[in-house]
Amino acid sequence: MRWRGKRGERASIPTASMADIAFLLIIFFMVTTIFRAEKGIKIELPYAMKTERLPKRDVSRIWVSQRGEMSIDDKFVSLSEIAAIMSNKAIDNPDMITQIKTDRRAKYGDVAYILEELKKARALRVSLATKEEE
Amino acid sequence: MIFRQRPKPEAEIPTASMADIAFLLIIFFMVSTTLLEEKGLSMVLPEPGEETKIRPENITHVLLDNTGRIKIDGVYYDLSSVRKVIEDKLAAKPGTLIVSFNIQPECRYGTMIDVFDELRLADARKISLVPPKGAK
Repeated sequence: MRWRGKRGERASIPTASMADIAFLLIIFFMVTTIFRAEKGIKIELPYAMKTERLPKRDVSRIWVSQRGEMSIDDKFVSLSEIAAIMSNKAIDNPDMITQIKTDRRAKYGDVAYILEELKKARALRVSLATKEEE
Repeated sequence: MIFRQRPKPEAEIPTASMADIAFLLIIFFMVSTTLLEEKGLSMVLPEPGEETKIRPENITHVLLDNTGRIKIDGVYYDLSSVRKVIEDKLAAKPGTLIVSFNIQPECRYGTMIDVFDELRLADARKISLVPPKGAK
């Protein structure tokens, strides 16, 4: 056959642009990665089994330490300020989910009063942060 | 001069391994990025002032006191039996039963989450958290 007789040309895949593709991928991942801006306060979360995953967006967090100190956006706040702060956030983003990150050694009362403030602020979607139990 | 007449070797940077380096970097960043996975028990709070009258026979009272003891409709249970008790009560009144969860404010938060988790595991959909005393 004719083509068999053809002098075998060296088969080669052009790899010159491979590096460009790879660097493009690196840059894409670097740009799309969201970094956590908030530091929060040091807490130990409680464990639970029937947990749900939280979406990455639309979440604002309230931190409650073991001693009942509360922090929003890395600022310590008092209970009476929470309603005003959260109601502003809820107006900006109606899909907001408030995540309450509470130390497991805290008193429930601290959280209960925050829930009441959130009701006042009409921030009604709440998630109580837990760790998954193994 | 003799040096000048020497033919210049072509300058070249080998780029064949560039792709390997780049992919190595990608893989390194993928592995070292800890994906932030947040979990929690989610719930929807009632609107303020939204109160509905529920017939008392459709309510189960779960009381968690300051020391972490659990009392369901007047009887003390330990944490491991809560799920079964609530499941039985839900099965007796499917769809209508509301769990009224009353937690004393001095109770440890971790204990509250344990019980709340058990209620969720028992598939109690309608849980009402009793507001603390003194709250408007």
